[in-house]
Amino acid sequence: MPKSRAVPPLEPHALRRACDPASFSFATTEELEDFAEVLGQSRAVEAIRFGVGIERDGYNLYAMGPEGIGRHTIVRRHLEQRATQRPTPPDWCYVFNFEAPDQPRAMSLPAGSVGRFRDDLARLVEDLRTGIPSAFETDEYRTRLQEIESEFEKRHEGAIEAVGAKAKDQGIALVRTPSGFGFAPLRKDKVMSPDEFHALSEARQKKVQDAIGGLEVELAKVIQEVPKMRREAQHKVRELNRQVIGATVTGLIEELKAVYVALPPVVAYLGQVNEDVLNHAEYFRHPKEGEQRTLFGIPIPEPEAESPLGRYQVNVLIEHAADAGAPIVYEDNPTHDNLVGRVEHVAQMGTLVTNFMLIKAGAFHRANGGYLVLDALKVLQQPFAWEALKRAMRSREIRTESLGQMLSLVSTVGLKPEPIAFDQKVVLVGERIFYYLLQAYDPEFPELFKVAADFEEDIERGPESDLLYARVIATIARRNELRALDRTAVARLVEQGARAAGDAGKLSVAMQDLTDMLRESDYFAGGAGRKVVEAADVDRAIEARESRQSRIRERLREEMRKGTLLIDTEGERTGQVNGLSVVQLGEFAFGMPSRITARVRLGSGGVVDIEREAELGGPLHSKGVMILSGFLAGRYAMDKPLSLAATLVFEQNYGGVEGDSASCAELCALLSALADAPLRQSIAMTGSVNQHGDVQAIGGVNEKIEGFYDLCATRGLTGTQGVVIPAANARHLMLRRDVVDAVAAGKFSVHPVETVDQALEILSGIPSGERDASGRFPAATVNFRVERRLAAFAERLGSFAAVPLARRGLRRGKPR
Amino acid sequence: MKIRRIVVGLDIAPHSRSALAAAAALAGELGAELEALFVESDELHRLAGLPFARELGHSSASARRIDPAALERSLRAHADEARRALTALAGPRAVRWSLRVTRGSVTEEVRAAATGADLTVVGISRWGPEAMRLAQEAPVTLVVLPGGGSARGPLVVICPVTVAPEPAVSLACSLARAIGEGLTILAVGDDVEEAARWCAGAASLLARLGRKASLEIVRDWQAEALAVALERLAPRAVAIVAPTPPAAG
Repeated sequence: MPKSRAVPPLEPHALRRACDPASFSFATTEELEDFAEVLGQSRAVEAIRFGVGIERDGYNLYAMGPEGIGRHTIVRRHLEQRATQRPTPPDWCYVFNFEAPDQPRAMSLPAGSVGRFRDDLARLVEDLRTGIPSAFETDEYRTRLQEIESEFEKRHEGAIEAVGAKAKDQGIALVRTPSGFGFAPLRKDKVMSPDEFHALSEARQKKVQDAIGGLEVELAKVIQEVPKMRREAQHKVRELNRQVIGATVTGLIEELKAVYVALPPVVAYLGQVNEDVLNHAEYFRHPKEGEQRTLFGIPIPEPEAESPLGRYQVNVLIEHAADAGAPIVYEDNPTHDNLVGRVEHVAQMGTLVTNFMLIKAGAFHRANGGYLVLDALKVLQQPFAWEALKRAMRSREIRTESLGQMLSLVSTVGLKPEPIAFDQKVVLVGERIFYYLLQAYDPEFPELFKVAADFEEDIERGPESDLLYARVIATIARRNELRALDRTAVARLVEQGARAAGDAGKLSVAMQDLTDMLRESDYFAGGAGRKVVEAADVDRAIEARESRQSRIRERLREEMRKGTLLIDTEGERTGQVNGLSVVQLGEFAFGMPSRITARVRLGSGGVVDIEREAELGGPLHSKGVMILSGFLAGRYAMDKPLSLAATLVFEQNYGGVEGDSASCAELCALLSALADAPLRQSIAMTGSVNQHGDVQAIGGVNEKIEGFYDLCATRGLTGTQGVVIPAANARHLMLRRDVVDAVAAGKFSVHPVETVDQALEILSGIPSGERDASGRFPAATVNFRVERRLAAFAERLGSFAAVPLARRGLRRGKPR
Repeated sequence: MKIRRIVVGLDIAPHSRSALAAAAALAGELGAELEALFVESDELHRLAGLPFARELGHSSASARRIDPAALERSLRAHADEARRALTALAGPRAVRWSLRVTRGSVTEEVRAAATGADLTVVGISRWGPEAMRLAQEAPVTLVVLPGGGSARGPLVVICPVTVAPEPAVSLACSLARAIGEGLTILAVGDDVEEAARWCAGAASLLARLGRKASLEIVRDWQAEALAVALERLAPRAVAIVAPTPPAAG
């Protein structure tokens, strides 16, 4: 009788590492102190401290890890601690650029003072609005204006009259005509009539005409001088205006300069305002409630900043409270414009116009001098946002330009606001995949984000960490104003944490998930009228969550019960085994058995994976199947050709299959088919296999076992049913209590195996067999039968090869 | 010194428009009837008839032939414009007005029309003897001088001390209300003491009326002597009260 390698099934205690409530010394979480640290994230926290503390270019942070770990909360908490110790950054505003009106000037003022500056400028304009018109209304101004105007008139008329006087001396009159001047000969101080003129001798007439010609030339010169005289007069009027309002304007502005004497840029700007006001005194003479401008009788709206006085306004971009500390800005919609700010437009007469008052701050402006937190995925999803972020970080300046301008799509005249220095630390929060992709594909990324804070998903489980976990639970419950939990509930949550980690020896630190579970347990405790959450409430919350998400699982089970999906849980069949797979639907994962079948025949095609041929199998699954050929050839056909044509299939699989966790089951089905050894359908199997036949660990072991258990339980547990799992997965077991209870009652079993031979023995009940000293497998073992079958195939194929091709109806090169 | 009828002399000169505006404002203020006289200068007609008649443009200085027919049309257009301006100015003030077109010497025609008027208004290009000549016929003559776009401006009232202060001050105040911005009264009299008394009387009248005005004494009733004072005051308009007080009406 060949030696059996049967391994014993696992004991109930090995299936679930329970947390004993008695190990906790507290009665409820009320007794526990808050846990101010971050559970299990010492590496990430250290990285954040380093990244936030180091004040150097490029030391920006990427906080990576899966959703729900608490990355945002942890990052924010550390930023807040640091931000309060840092100085409040300056306020920023945009003002009119008198030298280049299309390039508004950026100006910084000490934190908390920009609002006062804006109000001061507004008050200055108001004061000028009253001060300047009253300066123009003084008698002094009126008299001096009159003098200039009279002087001009006098010069003008005087010059003409001089020509007139000269003409008179020559007996010629200067006559004013409807649109100019004319000359006519005089006779007794009166203009000569045509008859009188004709009565003159020709010589006299010619003399008169020549004299008139000369006078006309003179008069033309005088007239041509008039524009120059007028310009001179206008210049004098402008000078007069400057002098008259100079005292008022300079007085008011000097007062302001004294207030801002410590800020040279502001003083310089006020100097420019002074000059501009003096040059444009006429703006202030307009009545405040003037006539509205119209075009073809249609009133044209005039925005405040469009009016001539609008240029003295102050566009407050960023205003901080003086003692606010460094700002922390989280931009949850990081579009290009939301980051760099934008220049808005207003519609006027069908066109879009803009001015410096329409420059709006973006997240870069708000976070300047502090911290900007962004979601990596969101930034990458928004067109050009990632580019804008990198450009600002690299160039160290914030340029507010629209996408249209940036891409040269818009050619209308716009504004080019003066850039503002970019001085902030950027924290990207995202999944690991994006960090590694950016590292690989964006050469600038490593330069700009030198610090990675990698968040753990779980922590080692032990008495100490269980207690820390309990304190975290207590903290979350208090912060969310939830009921306290008694220790049974805490123990259940610890077990659930291990289950979520997929490892009995670890605890998940997914804080969002834990918080949700606490809220849901609290809800059920409330429904039951309890003041403290108990284990039953946690159980209910877990069940309810599973039940809410289990519609698809129930439908699949129903189809199995009804026989639509063919899964046997009793009897034996050759070349057929129950594999186990995990279905992931959103956050919910569940295990389901799948029937795997193998057929063998003579051939030279090796093992054909029907899933792959039908393009339903993924690459990992294909790899798993290809390994089987290697195993078969290596173990059974070292010295002869592997003359096998085998097909493997996941029966009734219409949606694709991925992963190699069924490769061991596939091998068992294949060996069963080759050995003609029937397999027990009451045992399901999971595990991947290597070319030596060693069974390797797989994921989702708990879900897979429970998936088969649930099907068996609905059909009735016979005591023969169980699951074969890789021995390496035994430490991950954190099975449901009902499964553990069933095992304890001897109604279900879980077998850990290390080799395919062990698995095959459990499934077939026949020893697998090992090669003896002569290198042969003992008779009546599965391996013996397989080897014999493959040898027969090889021999048969050899006999085929001896027959000429022509006789087999096949010809090389001939099209079929 | 009741002003019932105002005559304004107009021609093609630009300051006619100022004169018309001032006359309309006065008529509105004083509730007087306004008679506008548009004078087509006969000198102009004679010039147009000359074989070489040309004009040089006001601002272009380009020479153009003057044609009698075109001149007729142009003068008619000026008269029509004066009519439109009158309508626009007098309408809102409910002033009764008329416009007459005559031909002749501007000064003579205005003097002729001034005979029956209480107040004559003319625009002149500069202060000179012509202004005094114009002032000989009507009890009060207002000459409007060029300057700026505003119809209002400093006003000077020249009044001989032979006229009683009361009517003179009352008239000056009315004129100032209509067109003045700052009033100066020049009291003209040989006898300084008499003039000073006159001024004292006028000052107390002004104080009683609550009006502000400067009072100055000029001894010579000649354009040249007055010109010195006017040069300094730079008035927009000068009102000349005739030396002989008109018969009470």
